[in-house]
Amino acid sequence: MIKKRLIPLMLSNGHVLVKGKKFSEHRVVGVMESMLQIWSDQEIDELLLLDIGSETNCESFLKKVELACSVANFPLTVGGKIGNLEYARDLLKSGADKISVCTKATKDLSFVGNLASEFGSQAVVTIVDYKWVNGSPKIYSNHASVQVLQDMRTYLTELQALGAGEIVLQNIELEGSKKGLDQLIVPYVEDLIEVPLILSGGAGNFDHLKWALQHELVSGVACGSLFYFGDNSPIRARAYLRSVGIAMRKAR
Amino acid sequence: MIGVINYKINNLKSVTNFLQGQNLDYLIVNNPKMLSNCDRLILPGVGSFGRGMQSLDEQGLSSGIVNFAKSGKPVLGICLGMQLLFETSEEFGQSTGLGLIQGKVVSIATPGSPRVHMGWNNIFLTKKSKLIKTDSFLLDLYFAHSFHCKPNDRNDISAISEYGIEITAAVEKDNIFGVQFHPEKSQVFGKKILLEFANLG
Repeated sequence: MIKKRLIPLMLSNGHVLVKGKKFSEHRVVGVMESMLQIWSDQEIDELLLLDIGSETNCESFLKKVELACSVANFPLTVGGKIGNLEYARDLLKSGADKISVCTKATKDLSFVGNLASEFGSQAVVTIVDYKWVNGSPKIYSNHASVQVLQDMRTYLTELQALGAGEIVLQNIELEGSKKGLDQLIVPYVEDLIEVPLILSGGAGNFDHLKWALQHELVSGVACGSLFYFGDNSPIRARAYLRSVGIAMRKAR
Repeated sequence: MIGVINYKINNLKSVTNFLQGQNLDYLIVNNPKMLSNCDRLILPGVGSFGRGMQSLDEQGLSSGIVNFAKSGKPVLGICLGMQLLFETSEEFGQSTGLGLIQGKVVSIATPGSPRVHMGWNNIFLTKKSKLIKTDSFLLDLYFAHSFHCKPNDRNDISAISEYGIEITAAVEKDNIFGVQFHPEKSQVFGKKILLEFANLG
């Protein structure tokens, strides 16, 4: 039986790791080396590492990915600023198992298709940042700063048709809030999702995780604040979720 | 000496980091001449089938790998590397593989089930395996694929997994081994499997 995944989210600003609220108010939460070692010791299911720094030179981030891969004993999805196939390939060569795209996909959908035919669907994760506006979810790009006019359901259908291997739905307003994951979005997309779905934004306690993972459609939850602020760990979260009947891996 | 085939499009680091961590000697193989220095081969994962084969052909490695395998030395394909061992794949149009195991690579898509098998899943052994010796249903391995292998001869299958349909998780035919999961990313259980391969007599 396929297990549900808990995916810590790691945001790098180019120097240190940060975590914010609603994509701003970033606070420093650690340095990559030590955090990766901790996640490795905890045998996490997977990691989502995003470059949100303002630096345009990507060389230093590639070095960070190389370092991450040398420490990590878990699958690594890497994203941020992926705008062409060459950079995607460099990230994979540096040790990423999967790459994630967000803004570029909203501007040029065919890019998702190109990534999939080059690297295979299983390596292509698409992140969709959204906010609920007037009763329906609206897509945002450029780090939640630009609203994309395309209809969300149409967009998700197209992403999948082009070969996206996984979809991460990230609620911008819940990000960092610890108020709970978006309960409205699953019914909104339920009938059209054909690839693994990850929810992100708002997980603040283990019951929030349980609520989301109970959905058959939800393959995993990505979370940052839950693990960075407070004394919760992936080990404890997994143990709790197993105790309430969610199919989680048995690690140590 | 373990040869690790370089397709130039993929992530070799997960595999080489693992080998390095275990103090196992390895060589990154970019051309057929380098194969003579190896006593076993790993074809790692990541990439699409067509691009993977194209890259092997461009480097003149396809026939080299086939000859290597025919000499009886162990070959392990991981994920895409496993799929390349087969005759054909239907990923993004029809492509021809190495043909070391008879059969084809097909989509896992079924109505009502996601068409990408992504995440940790347990496996069931279907025969005695030289690589997978821990027969525990409680241990999970990391999968990330949307196509899987269908050998013509079911006896080539050594382990299956369940994901709406039966997934071919591992194949084993004499000195040819393939695993659809990523042992190099599967922590303790995966490590055991790779060490068995490294120590095959």
